[in-house]
Amino acid sequence: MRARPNPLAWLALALFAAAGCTQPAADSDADITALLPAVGEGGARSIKESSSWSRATEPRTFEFPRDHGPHEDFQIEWWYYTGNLSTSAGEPFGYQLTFFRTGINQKPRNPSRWAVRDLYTAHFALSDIGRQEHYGFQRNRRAGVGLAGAARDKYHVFNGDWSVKLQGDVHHLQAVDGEYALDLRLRPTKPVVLQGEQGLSRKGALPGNASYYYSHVRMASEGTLTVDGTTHQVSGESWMDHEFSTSFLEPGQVGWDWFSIQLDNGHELMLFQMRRSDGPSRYRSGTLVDADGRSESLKTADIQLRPRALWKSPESGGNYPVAWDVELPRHSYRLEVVAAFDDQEMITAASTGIVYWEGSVVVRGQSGEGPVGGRGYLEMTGYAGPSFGPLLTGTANEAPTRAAGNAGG
Amino acid sequence: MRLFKQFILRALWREKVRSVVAILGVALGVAVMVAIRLANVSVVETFSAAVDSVGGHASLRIRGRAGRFDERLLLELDGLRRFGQLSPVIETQAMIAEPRIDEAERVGFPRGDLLHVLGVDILLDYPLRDYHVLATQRGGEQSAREVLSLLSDPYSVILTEKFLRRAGLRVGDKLPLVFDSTTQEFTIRGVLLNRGPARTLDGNFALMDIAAAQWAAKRLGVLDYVDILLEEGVDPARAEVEIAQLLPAGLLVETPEAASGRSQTMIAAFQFNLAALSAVALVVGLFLIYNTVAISVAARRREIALLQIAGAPGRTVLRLFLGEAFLLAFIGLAIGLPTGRLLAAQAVQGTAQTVETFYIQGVAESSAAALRLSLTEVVVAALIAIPLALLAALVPALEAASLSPVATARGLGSRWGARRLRLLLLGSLTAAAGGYALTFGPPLWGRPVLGFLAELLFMIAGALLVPSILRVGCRLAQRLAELLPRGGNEMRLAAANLLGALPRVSISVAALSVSLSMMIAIAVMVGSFRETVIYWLESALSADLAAKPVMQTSAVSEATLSPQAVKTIRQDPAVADTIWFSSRQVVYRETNIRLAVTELDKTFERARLLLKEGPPDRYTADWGTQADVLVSESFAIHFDCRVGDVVELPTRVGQEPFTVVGVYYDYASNQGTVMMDMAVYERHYALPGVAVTPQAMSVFLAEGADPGEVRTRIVNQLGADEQIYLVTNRELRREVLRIFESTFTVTYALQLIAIVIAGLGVAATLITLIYQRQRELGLLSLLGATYRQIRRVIVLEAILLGGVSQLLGTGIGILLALVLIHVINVQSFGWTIQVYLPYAFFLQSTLLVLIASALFGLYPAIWAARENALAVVRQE
Amino acid sequence: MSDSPFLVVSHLVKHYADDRVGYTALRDVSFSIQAGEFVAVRGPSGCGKSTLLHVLGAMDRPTTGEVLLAGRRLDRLSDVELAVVRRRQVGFVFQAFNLLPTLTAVENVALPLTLDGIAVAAANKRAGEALGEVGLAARRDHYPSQLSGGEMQRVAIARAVAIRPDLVIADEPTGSLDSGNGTRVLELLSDLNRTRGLTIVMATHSADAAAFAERTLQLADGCLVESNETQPLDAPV
Repeated sequence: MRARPNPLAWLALALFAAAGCTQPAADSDADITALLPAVGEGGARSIKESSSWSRATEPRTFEFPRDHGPHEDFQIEWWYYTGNLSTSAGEPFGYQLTFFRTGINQKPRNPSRWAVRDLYTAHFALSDIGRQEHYGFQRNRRAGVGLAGAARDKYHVFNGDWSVKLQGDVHHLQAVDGEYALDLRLRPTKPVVLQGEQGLSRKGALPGNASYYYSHVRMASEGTLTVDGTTHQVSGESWMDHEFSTSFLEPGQVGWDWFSIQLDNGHELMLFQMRRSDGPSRYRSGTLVDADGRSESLKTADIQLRPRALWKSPESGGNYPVAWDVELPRHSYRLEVVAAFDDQEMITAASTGIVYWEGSVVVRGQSGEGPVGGRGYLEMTGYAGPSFGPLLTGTANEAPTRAAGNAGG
Repeated sequence: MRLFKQFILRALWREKVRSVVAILGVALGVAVMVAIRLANVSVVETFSAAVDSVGGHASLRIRGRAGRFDERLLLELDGLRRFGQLSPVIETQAMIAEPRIDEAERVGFPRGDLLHVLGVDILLDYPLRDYHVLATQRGGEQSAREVLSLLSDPYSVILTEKFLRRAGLRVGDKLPLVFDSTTQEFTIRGVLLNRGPARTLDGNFALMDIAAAQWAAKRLGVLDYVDILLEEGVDPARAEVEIAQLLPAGLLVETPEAASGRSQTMIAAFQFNLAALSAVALVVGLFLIYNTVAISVAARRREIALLQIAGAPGRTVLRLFLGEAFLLAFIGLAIGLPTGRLLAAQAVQGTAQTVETFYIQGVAESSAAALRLSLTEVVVAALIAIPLALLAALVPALEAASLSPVATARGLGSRWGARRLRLLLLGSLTAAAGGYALTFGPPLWGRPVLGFLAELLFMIAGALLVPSILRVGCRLAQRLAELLPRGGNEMRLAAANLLGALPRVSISVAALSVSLSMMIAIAVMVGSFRETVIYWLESALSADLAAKPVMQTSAVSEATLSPQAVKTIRQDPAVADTIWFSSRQVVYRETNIRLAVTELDKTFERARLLLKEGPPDRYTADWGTQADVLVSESFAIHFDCRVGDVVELPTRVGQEPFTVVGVYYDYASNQGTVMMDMAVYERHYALPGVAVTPQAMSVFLAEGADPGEVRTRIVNQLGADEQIYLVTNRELRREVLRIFESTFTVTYALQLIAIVIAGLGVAATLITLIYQRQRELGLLSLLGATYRQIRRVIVLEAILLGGVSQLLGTGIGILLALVLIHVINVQSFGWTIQVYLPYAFFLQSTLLVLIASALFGLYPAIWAARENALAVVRQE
Repeated sequence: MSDSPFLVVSHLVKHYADDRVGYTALRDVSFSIQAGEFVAVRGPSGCGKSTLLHVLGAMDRPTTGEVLLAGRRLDRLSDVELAVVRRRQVGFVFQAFNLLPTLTAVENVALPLTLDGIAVAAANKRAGEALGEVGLAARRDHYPSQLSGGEMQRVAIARAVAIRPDLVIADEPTGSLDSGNGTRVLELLSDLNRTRGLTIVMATHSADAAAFAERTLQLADGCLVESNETQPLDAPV
């Protein structure tokens, strides 16, 4: 029973001054670290409820459109869309819309809808090349009651009202943040390209650190971009990557440089190199796709990458090589890849704390057949701020070390 | 200035005792005033700081009209994202389980440290509140994502630096927490630095993941509210309007301040009552200051006259004495301010003990710890005390200055004429009539403002009556003295002395009788209330056992009994029947009311609701099928509603009409309550898929079963992880009365202080009177009175003053009590209280007051004797 | 009246030890007074008149020396005994009247009687008679503030005689009065001395006032310099 007579004492108190006792003791100004555990770094260590995530070790069979969807037994997965667009008046724009899924806990004990199985992060960026302005937005959420997620029965990945949906063979992209928005329909013009060894893409010399990786390397794109409140009708070409794994990075790897290039000779080129903190030894990989959609894997020896110019970010202090010489000696390509403009850095302090450079690039050079040009996107990580580590390794593997990261440059 | 030094400073120094008494009087007045004001301001500030630190930067809040709402409604709020960041919240409390619970403790009323628990999705909530989670041993802070990873395990909490230090715990340690009735071991995952929400309740704050909080608090599938952090540049008022239009029917949007203001009725009551308290303290303080300064100047009439004779212009004289008053007030202020600060800490803690909910108690405690004198307080106190002191000095100084020097020297003008007395009497009657008229007024802004005003007028009436009553009292004493064979002489002298000093003692007697009247009023009200509650308990508590979860800490707490506990109780062989009870807070006409749900058929059959109005005390089958409800008396009074009226209550699907079929007495809560049958509740409120569990059960045993045995059996069967209160009827009744008594213990303590202060006022008056009458006392001595006789005269004067004060105080007190019971109580709590006059208490208090007065008179008496009054005459 | 002196003062010394300076108010004063004598004590201000009166009236004790009043050594009595002496044996009349403003005339007169434990009714009756003797029967229920200076002094005299004292001490009884009222008061004292045989010791600085007394003691600087029979200024009435 509810038996607590409510104090009519108020009336009583209303009439009288006061008595009481005790004065709380002042806080001791003891060392705050005494509150953390005595040994280890357990203070920041996360909890492993189970870590039976699948790993990318063997080539697998892809099946579409089913494999566009999520692969929830892998801990890390992303859907990456980038593209170069222009208005009917020829104003050039670049965009990036990325959906990340990070597995936190495969089978949460807690029956609450809010129990975190996966964490969904999304990045959305627009580059107004004419004005040399870069706008970046981010979201970082749990699925909860449907705030973010990936449908299992169809290709539909979303984070609030940012989403990608497959309608027929068209990928419908939507994202909005205030005065900035994107609504694009992308139609693949070539079949899916399986990267690496039939879609198994190694990230280092050691086995085990790899991902399943496929791309739509050229997608005819149409729709609208809203920049600073003005909506533009745009068209152009996009590139889609879908990658999933549980372990990407080898110990010692600090970041990578990744290129997606659509050449005007109908070829596409994907390249990446993994950089190590402990030396110049770099792992490189890539794929060259010809006009008919046939792809060829490129090994470390096939690729030469040389930074040509550095740009120092005033915000993060990172020194980014914003111009590169790319050479594929075996395939007679000599390309010069230059950022459409310098400042296309993405700082996502609130969601993941990661800082990276992702931007539209202009490509000029020679192929065996003569001069060639093109557009593309360049991603450079590990130059400033915390590495992609925590995002790519989820919370299951390692404690994030912010102290080192924050120093920058 | 030279004159000031010679005439004022030297005099003050020479008459050290009088000066010290005057300064102390002012200091006490200031202290009382400042203490209560400071306590009030501080509690309010701490409360709003607590609201701010928990509420964070959220500018709007979405709630369910009918309490918690289905979390899936959040998806429908997606369109609101353009206004800003949305963050769903679970807010609850947990108790830190004692490591080992004795059998005896379990059946009693266990108490443990309580934590205020906030369950959020840190990713959404991070920008809303100032979270600072210690990252490593080297310092640094964790990002939202890192905090999330700390909390991903459902039995994880982040606790505050302050709490961990206090409890001697560290990260990685385990801590058993009780949510509702279930104990679970939680692991401390992080340290929240002392900023933002960590400042809540002096560090008794736990941060959890929303999923974990839902699970622990048994709120799977529902949300308490959603906070909105508006984008920069969005106008909150406009956003509120626009969002209101977009919300689904069952939800409402408001500012967090409105939400907390409305839901924390207890704080509102606390605040209001402290404010009233401070008004009373102000009156007492004003009395003291006025009294002190007026007397201290009046004591020097002769000197004023001398100055005038010496040819000082009236203005100079006035300025000199205003200067003296200013000096006294200033020193008094300097002493009173820090004293007030000390008193305030006591006041806050004292009042906090009577507060029902842990939340407010926590607020009060942390505010007591954080009390400090702000410049505002100092200025306010100075602005009140100094002008008042000057005014108090002005009246007697002017009066003295207007008299002819010769008359003053002869001691004329200290007697009030009959005309003056008639005028005061008329004023008294006018005030009383005004007060009486005010008792018919309606509550203003939902508060019994007019009632309190009426109380004030009655006190003023009483104060104005003092000279007349005092005169009658002294005359009576003189008559009485004539009947006495021998000792009557001293009484006659005492009475004559008081009659001669009527204007001066009247102020002190007024202060004392006002204080006493408050004591009497409260005694009458508490006594009456107690009798009424006992009567109600007799009939309302008919169950053999009552069960509720440990965390059912207040009327607004919504902790529930676990299904296992319910099952265990119901299945016990000795249990004949149980009545299910549950309640939730809903918003009705912009006020939080309580929706009580029970099995009405059984309630009527077994528990005998005390009905004030309404149906025959038999259950009508319609109540389960129709939308019929009973309302508590306070609801009926507050919302002016009668049997047959229709009330629109917010339900799961929006506003729905319910018919009031009865009004019942309920002294358990001053919140308006609507009671409905379980069947009705399930139709209109239950969320699909969310299990409805009782918050309490009344248990009826089979004939002959021993409640104690049944209790032990059930508790043993439940094991250590289920913490419920299971109390017998008698224990419950005793507990109710114990809480009742302890609630009012503080009240009595408060009274004592008020009386001591008033008594000091009387002592100060006496000392001053004696100082003035030194020559007369000397004369008495000259005429052959022994010091003992003189002492007796003075003590008798004190007793006479006390007696008259007590008499008047009792009269006004009963009047005040009637207003408290019939006007203020009804308007603010909505309870019927039968008036009951505690004669024994009257007798006791009278005796006490007489003894106390004698004691207060003793010091001046001894002082007078020590001054060797004879010497005064001799020196002439 | 017996032959033995009623009031005997021998080698009286009164020394005041003040904070800063000690000073001697009376130096080795000796004299005696017969019962029923009306004695004036004269001398300039500060000569020790008042001090002498205080000692004689049991208000103060001498530093050394003896005071014998009706056979009792006042210098050896305790405070309480002195109080009893004051209320039973000594009546006082002062320059400043010293009436209690809160009591009526009759109550003021009755006060020493009631202090001595005499029942109020009896005391009031005697007080009324005393007031009658000083011609103020009609003023018995007036407060001091309602009386003139002369009337107040007469009330004081009534109070002094109401207790039927052995000795009346009058300290500048005319000091606050105009000459008419002053003369009336002196005549009253002289009357009482004659009709009731009251022993009176009156301090005064006025020769006119001293003329009412039978004998004058002249004090100067704490010493008794002269003691002689008063020459009546006018023929007694």
